[in-house]
Amino acid sequence: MATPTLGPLEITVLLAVARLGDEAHGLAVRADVSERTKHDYSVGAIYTTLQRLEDKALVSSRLTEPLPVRGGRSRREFKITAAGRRAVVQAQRTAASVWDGVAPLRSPKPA
Amino acid sequence: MTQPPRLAERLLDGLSGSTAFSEGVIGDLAEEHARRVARDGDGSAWRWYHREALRSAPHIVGDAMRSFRRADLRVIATGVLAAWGVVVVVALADRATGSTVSHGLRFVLRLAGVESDIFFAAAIHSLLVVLLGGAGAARFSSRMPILSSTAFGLTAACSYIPLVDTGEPVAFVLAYAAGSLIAAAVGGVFLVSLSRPRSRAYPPTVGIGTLG
Repeated sequence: MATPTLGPLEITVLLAVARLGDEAHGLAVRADVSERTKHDYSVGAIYTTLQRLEDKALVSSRLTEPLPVRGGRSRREFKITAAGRRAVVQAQRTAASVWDGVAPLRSPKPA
Repeated sequence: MTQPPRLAERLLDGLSGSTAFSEGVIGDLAEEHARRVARDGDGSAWRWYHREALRSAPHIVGDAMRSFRRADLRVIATGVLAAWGVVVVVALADRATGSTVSHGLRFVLRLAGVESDIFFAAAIHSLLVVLLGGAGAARFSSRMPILSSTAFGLTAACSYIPLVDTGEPVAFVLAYAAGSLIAAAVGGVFLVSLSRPRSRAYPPTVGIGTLG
């Protein structure tokens, strides 16, 4: 089966889900992604990306029992699927291939 | 437990299509708000919640649009029809009593120091009726209340288009139509702010995938 094309945020979120394992719920994914990218993504943006990944069958999700800390709402937990793992490996290969042969670059000195 | 800002939370709830997506987003906002209250205090957590609710609202609306089903169209149509029912009943009652409400409104405006003719009072009256209709539309379509009241507002706005043919200035008709749209949405928002958040009544455990 062909691996679906992933955008930069999709790859970042997918990697966060893989990294967090059983702790991969919306807030944890958002904290992980925001810390690594140094960008404050909104809760909605992270969920939209997670939803896209689920639509592409790269992650699966389930709702937990309602929790008092969430005002009686359930927490949505995510898990990477086998197709998701394949997509990560494919993205890693593509990145390695793109970077192959490029000498380490230095940041240009400020003018 | 510290409750998140009530109005903002219920507005998000009212905008959503009551899906697992909105359940996740609104729940995450509540959880993070509680954490921030403990860490940074009420004021900072309150500001964070509103900023984050504003940033997440387009995503919640987007999800409601994506999860829109044919059955939702029926729900919204029911809300719009119910709202028009409210409008017609109020209009008939007003006519039967010789425009009592418009005259009463004119009197109230005069008490407030605003001199107005009966036409202006009637315009305010009709906007209030549309606001009431917006609340009615939200009441009768609980899955998408704000969308329903906005849809009703749109039909109310369109109903003013024929006024152009009667020689009314286009700017007046447009302002009146926009006022109706806003009034209906405000009516829906008002009703949602009074009602119980729907997503808390969400089924306790709904498997929407496999966590294997």
